[in-house]
Amino acid sequence: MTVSRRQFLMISGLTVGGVVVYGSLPAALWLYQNNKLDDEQTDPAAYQAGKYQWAMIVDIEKCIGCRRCLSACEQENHVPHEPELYRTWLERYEIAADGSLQAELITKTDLGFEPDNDSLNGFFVPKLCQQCANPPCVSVCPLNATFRTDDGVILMDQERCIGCKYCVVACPYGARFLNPETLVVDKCTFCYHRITQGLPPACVQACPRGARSFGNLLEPEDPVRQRLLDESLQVIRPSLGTKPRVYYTGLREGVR
Amino acid sequence: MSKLPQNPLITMGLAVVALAVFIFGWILLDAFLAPYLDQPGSRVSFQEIAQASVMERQVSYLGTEQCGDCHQTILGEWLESEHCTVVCESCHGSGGLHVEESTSMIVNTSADLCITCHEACCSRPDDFPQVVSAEHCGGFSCIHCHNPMCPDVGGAPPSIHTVYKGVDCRICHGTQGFHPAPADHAQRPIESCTHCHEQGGDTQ
Repeated sequence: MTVSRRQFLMISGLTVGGVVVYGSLPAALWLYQNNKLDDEQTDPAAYQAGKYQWAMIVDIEKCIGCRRCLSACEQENHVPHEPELYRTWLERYEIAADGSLQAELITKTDLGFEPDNDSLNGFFVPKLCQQCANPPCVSVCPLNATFRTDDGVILMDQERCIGCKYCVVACPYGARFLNPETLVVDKCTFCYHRITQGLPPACVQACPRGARSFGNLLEPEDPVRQRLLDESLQVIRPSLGTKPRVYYTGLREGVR
Repeated sequence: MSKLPQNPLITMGLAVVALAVFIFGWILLDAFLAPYLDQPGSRVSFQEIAQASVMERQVSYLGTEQCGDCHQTILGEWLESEHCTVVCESCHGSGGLHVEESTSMIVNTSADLCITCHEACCSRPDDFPQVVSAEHCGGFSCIHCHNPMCPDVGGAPPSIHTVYKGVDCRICHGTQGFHPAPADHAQRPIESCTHCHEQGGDTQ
């Protein structure tokens, strides 16, 4: 069969035209619907994640190790009352006479502390999910069940998680645990349900010494942002490159 | 392979008809699917759904302002005290259920609650008030002397004070404590204190 030049051009022109029309229809539809979503999101009551970058500063010198943050977190987030399951936890460090650090985990049921006669001094380090900007837990999740929101919080999709605990192993800070009640991985959310309503996280609210402060790095007048610009704040294990969003003051070398 | 019609007009006509059928079909299909596609959130990713479900969780740690709506008097007292940085729910537990279902709050009057903050510990900052509870009061409940809402007692108890009924004198006047009894009192039975110290304080 022979096809004249004219026929060839005509058929190819029609094909290209068809493809363009065929392709543009779903694109137009998609654009139309997306615009509609944008309209819905301009509702002033709705929370706009793009306007926030949440961060926390923990002042180690202020912490008295009272565990009020632990119980507040447990009550707010329904963390099982078991000795080793925490969304936020507390470590107690003692500085021995030879300068070495000894760490112990403070459990929810501890009352007093046995003073160690060899220790000269010490401090407490409250810890929680460091809300890394470069989170290893998100990278390893085989189901994308954990993800970083636009406002810089690492959240869990509890419906999607299968409890494989890859993220528990991957987290260098030990911030994740398998919830024995739901059988999926649980972690600190910076009290996402509170901060999106303008409330501080429960641990921040509960701290009697103001050792935890919480704020939005995109708000120029925010005290946390100001402190981050003015002071020399530290993060735990910066060499890992996880870029935590939980900053510390008075963090000694040896705190891991 | 079938032969193309020799007349280019027929070829073009066929192509136009095919395109028209296709476009019409697409519009029909879209109209049919519209109710489903137009569901709110239908184009939202599963991560956004998860994010929204986290945001919907119930707040149970309410904050002092809400406590003050009902408990104004005690809030006023607390605001003036040194404990004004310790929010209500720190000691009394979260208030969510209390407000919704009128469940009772935790009122722990034992020293166990106080010493979670105030037991002496080398890891605590030096400027924070700390006691070795065994020496300070023998583990006796703090609220006999300190009002938790306003804990400052303005120094040690007055030199002459009435006998606290049911309180072991030795808590403060044992061999250790605020005001230890003389050494020769160590062997005397507790019942005999009030023989001489009827109103408390020094014997005249």
